[in-house]
Amino acid sequence: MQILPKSLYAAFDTYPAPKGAAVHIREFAQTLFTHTGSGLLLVLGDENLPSWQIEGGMQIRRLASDEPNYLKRAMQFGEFVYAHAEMLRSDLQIAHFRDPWSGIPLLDVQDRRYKTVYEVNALPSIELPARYGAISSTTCNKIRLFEKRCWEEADWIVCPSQVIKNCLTELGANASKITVIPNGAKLIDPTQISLPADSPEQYLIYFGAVQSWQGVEVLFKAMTFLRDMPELKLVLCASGSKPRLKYLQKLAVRMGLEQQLIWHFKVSQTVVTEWLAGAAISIAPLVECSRNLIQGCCPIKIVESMAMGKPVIASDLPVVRELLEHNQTGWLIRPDRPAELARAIRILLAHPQERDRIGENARRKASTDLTWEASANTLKAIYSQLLA
Amino acid sequence: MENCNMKRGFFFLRDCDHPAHQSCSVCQASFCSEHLRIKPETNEPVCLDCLGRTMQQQQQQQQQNQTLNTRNRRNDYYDDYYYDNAWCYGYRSNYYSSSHYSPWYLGNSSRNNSQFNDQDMRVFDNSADINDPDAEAFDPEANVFDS
Amino acid sequence: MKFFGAVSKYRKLSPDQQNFIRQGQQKFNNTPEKLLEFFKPMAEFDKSCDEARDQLLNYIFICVALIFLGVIGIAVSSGHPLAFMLPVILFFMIFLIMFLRWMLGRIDIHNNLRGFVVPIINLLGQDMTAGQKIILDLDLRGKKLPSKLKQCVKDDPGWFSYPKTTTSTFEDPWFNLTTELVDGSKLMLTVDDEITQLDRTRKNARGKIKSKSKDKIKHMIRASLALKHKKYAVATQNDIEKFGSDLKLKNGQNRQIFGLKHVVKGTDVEANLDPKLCFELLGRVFMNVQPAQQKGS
Repeated sequence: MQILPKSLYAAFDTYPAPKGAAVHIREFAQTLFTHTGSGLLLVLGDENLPSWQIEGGMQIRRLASDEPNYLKRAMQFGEFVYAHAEMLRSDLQIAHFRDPWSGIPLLDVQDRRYKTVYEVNALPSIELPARYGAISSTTCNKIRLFEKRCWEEADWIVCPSQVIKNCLTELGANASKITVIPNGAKLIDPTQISLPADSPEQYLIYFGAVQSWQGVEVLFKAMTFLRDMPELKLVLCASGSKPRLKYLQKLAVRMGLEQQLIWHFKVSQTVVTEWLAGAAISIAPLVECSRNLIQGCCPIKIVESMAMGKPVIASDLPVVRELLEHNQTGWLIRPDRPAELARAIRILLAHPQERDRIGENARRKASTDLTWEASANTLKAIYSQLLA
Repeated sequence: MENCNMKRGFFFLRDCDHPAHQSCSVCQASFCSEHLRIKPETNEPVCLDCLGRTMQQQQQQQQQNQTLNTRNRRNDYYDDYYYDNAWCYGYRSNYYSSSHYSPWYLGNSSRNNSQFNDQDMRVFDNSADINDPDAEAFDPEANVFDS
Repeated sequence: MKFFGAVSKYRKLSPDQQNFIRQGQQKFNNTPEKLLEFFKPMAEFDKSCDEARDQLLNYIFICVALIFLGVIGIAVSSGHPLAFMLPVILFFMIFLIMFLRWMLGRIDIHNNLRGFVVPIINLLGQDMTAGQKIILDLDLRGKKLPSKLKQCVKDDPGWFSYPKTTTSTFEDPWFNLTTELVDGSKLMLTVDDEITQLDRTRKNARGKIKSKSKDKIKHMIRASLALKHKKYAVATQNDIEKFGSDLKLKNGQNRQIFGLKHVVKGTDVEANLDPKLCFELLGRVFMNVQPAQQKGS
């Protein structure tokens, strides 16, 4: 007989997927489900993923929607979450949600017995205008109302960075019920990893999603300044929408970077780890935009690079400064400055001992402050407090 | 609450979806504070369309009076608003009438703040996704005049 | 005196703005709001600088007239020492005013900044989504710099033979703007100026040698718009005919690129280009294309 789930974790995102968000979902959902004994994960799926899956104490239900309209899909997902939550309203102890599309239906359930945790990694009212330019302020305000209801009615709020906490507080959320839990990573010794057979002698790495705010264009421009080092390659383990990836490929060709780039699309975490292990430097060229500045984020690519002792060159933004200290645990450059990025790459490539020192410092910091175990412990404490 | 009656844009008009704040002393329609200015001479609120049109008329009169001076000159009143949106609104009304241009109208916004309606939804259609630059994305280096 | 007003406006400019005025050339990548914030004080300064220079020129004419009157005064007053002093003082004043005018001329920026660049950014900004950036490559260093000289043809019949004619051709691609509009169209707008300077030296009937210099300027405005097929129907042969022979069309899988150009001729190198000419080119495209399914969808 199937065990009724005691907790629910809902995310309007495809799981699993080759990006940081999916790792985050896995770690937090597992923490929740371990804490309550069993759980139901509600996520998006696609034609290749089963709509129902049981993995130990974790049940996964996926909504495979072919609805092309984002907002309609979000509403469909809301219905999907509501149906499950309504059915389990007396059994669930905790419902943890990552976005207002899942949050509003969970809060709408009448006579619910569960406590709610709102995990704010991003605010659609800030991120969506970057993607859908024609979005009107009325629509944004409506989305903001959804978000506001979530942070007002949720019993607890967790977010991965202080910048997000500040953003929420400024928008009117109650700071006393917000806990910052930075993203974590598994500590990996790169010497224990077998490098990909076709890996070049020396390479830089960019891995993760390639939305406009990630700054891949800035990195491309920087690579054009490094043409005098033909042996230096940039490995891109990229995930993202097909048109965006296609665009970036075309852009790279237009900028004459074919020889310098090695593309890997939507590869698994294992492959990313293999490539990261052999990389000289990991790059996180985040753009100075409202998504990164006002809303905030906690780039998993930085945390994972640190956990593997890889020096990271990243944009000097408050969200990055929460993780890296210049010339100690990382190397910070002003955002949107390709020439400065190229210079930083040259400096670190020329000084392997500095790379090792920064990498080692980063690994040390990751091992003390940025592990999934640490995040899980903080999260468990919140769940315990809510259930007490 | 009534919404602002101003249309934003130049080639493409869009409804302003801010709530109306005050009425224009010239056309009597209601506008949000972004689309109203206090006219210095009269100390009354004037919408950007009316203010812009007055500015354009003043400029044309001035140009007729200064037939000898071919250089582009403006009076101080005009200059105060030259870099303000008001100038754009006056220029556009002049442009529409002199160039016979009729702008595209990109739809009105919703008046219902409770739930998402068709107006909200249409923005999220795949075709509205600006984050999917096409393969034939504009190439600043390419000169289409080179044939 | 407008001179002090102009100097005070110049002093209020930020070091970056003063630097741009001195260099006259820069590549920008910013939102229309930020660009206007940067250009507005410079445009205001440029306006007061031009007014101050006009006023100083008027003062020079007044001084010349006063010297003339002073000379008559000397003759009438039969050698009064004060009557001698006045023309001398006025003479020095002319030099001083000319110096001040020259100083202002050194920090004067081309009228295209306030008369063309600022209105173009202001109006295009109305049709852009919030946060969308404009890439702007601007070169206002001057139209007749030696580096911009493309051709120099001399017609010199020899020593003491006239007329002598020198035709210098300068090319000045001073404006290049790229951005994306609210409908998803990508826009590129460029202005390339071609300046022809004709220097002619001839001997008149009395045997005096006269030199004359004449400028002709040709502004070539090019606008290209890449329209998304998702938004706009592919232009039919019938549509294309409406544009006339000026149109260059490029078809891509997802976009159709419309290129139009317009040439304007003039004689005043310092006069600004009328921004309306650019809007007319863009307006022609938007007036003659059809929506993909439904207007505005």
